[in-house]
Amino acid sequence: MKKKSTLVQSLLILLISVVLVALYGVIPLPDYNTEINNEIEGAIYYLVDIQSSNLIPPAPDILDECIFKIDISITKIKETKVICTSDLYQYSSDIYLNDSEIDENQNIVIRYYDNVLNSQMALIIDTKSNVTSKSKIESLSTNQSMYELNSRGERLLSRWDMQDTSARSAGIYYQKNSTIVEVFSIEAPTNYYFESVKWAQDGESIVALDTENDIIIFSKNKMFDPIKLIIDNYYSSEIEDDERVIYQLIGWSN
Amino acid sequence: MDKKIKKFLDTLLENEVLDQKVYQNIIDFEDNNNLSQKSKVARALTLIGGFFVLSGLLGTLPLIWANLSYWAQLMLLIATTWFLFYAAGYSQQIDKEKLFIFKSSERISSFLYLVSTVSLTAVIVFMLNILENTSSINIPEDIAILITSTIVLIYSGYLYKVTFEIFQHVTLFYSLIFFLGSIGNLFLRNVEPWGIGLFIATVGLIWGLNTYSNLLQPSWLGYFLSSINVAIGFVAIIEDLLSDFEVINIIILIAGSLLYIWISIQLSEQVIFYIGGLGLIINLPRLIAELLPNNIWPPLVLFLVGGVLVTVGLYLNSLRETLGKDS
Repeated sequence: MKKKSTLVQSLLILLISVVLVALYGVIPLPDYNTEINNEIEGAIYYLVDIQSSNLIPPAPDILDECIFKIDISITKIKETKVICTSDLYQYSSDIYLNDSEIDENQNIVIRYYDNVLNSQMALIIDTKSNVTSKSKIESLSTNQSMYELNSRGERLLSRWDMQDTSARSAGIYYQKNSTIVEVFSIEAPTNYYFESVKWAQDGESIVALDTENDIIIFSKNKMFDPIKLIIDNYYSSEIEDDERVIYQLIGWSN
Repeated sequence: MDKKIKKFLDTLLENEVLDQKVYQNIIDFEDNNNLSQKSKVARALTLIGGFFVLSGLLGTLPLIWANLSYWAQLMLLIATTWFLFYAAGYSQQIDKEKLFIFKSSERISSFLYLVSTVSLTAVIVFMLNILENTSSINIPEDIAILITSTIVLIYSGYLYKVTFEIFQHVTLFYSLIFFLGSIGNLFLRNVEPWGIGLFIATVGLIWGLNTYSNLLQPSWLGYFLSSINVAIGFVAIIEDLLSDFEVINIIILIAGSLLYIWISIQLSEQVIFYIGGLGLIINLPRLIAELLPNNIWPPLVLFLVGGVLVTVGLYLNSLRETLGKDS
């Protein structure tokens, strides 16, 4: 009898804690507009991990890393492949894809270590023709910093610059001189935030990757509401059964 | 008969605590109820053979695993689970004796049942994945986790009812956490850290209540799992909700540690005392560091940690003396 009454008490305690958490402990994910605005255009480049979907968890294997591109000028956004690490093994096995950047000619620059020359080199990929050429690091003219700092000297702040764990909110901020300006802020779960935040080339729009693996576009001057990009994923029979995770934005070109 | 028991009985007989008739009755009873030597050897051989089969299987599987088709892998896992379950049930019937590192046959069967639970989990995960890959049925990941956790919880509950052993007790606890977590993941997404802390503390509290009502045994393990989870849950709640009020945060944790020590005395459970004592050892220096200048706290910390250790020592000694008197 005592055991049964304890079980009933246990269920009641569990029920009360579930109700408490359901009422006060759950913050929904932010909801974004998904319609593309005519004012925004260009192409966004980002890095994707292709992971195996293992039958037995926990750890998936990273099979490949790829740079993908989306053209946001068109209504139906379709993802296209630019290059994958596996396409570049002819140059080296030490390809630093996460250091990729877009140069002033809108080409993608990928650094790697050339074992034959015993030095750091770069591959320049023409995004229009997909032609790859080699270059020495010294002869590169890149503008990597422009994606964090625009032409007006406004620096985008990362999550770590603005971290406030008790805030229950996520936001996009930039710093001009000593002033911090809020572009966007919303109530969100503690584990939701924006990462890999980049300026568009005109310095008026911002693109960010959120922890739900979605790409969101913001207007610096709040000319439009944030837009979540709905992407038609790149299809290839080679990666059909694999998982794909966007882990870094490279940049937003014209 | 065990040599130690035989020697003890001889001593009792020599000192006339037992008379010859009772002594002989005990010897006859033990002989009649024990397995014959041949039977013991047969069972021991079966058990040792079973261990060889198991270790051989575990050694061979990783080498051939990648070359097997999914169906073959599944069949092997099912065979392993069945073998473990059967071996555990068989070893339960063996006479109480030590084997390898295990204290008794119950402990062996408990260990085998534990491994069979892990194996069964792998079987379910495999079956769900194969079902998804070979048919048009699309099982979302959250549902697959819920199905797995439900079956594992039922199996763990059954095994606990059969054995009442510590491995099954621990398995039942973690499979319950796994099950509640999978439900929470399905219906309550994006729970704040204090909510997760509340869940952990609630499960700990429930476990403590059911240990107190003797539903869960052994009591030390039930109270250990309960107190450690209540502590983790409350730390998560306080760290999340009172992160801006460090001193209040530490004072609450010290009060909680003192409460643990009080409960341990009421229930005469050492494990709760250890966790309460550990809480004091961690949080008293934190409080001193917050309140006093830097150059004062190192000797004070030593003083307080020493004080807590002396209290623990005295408490354990008093418990030992009480147990001695009782016996």
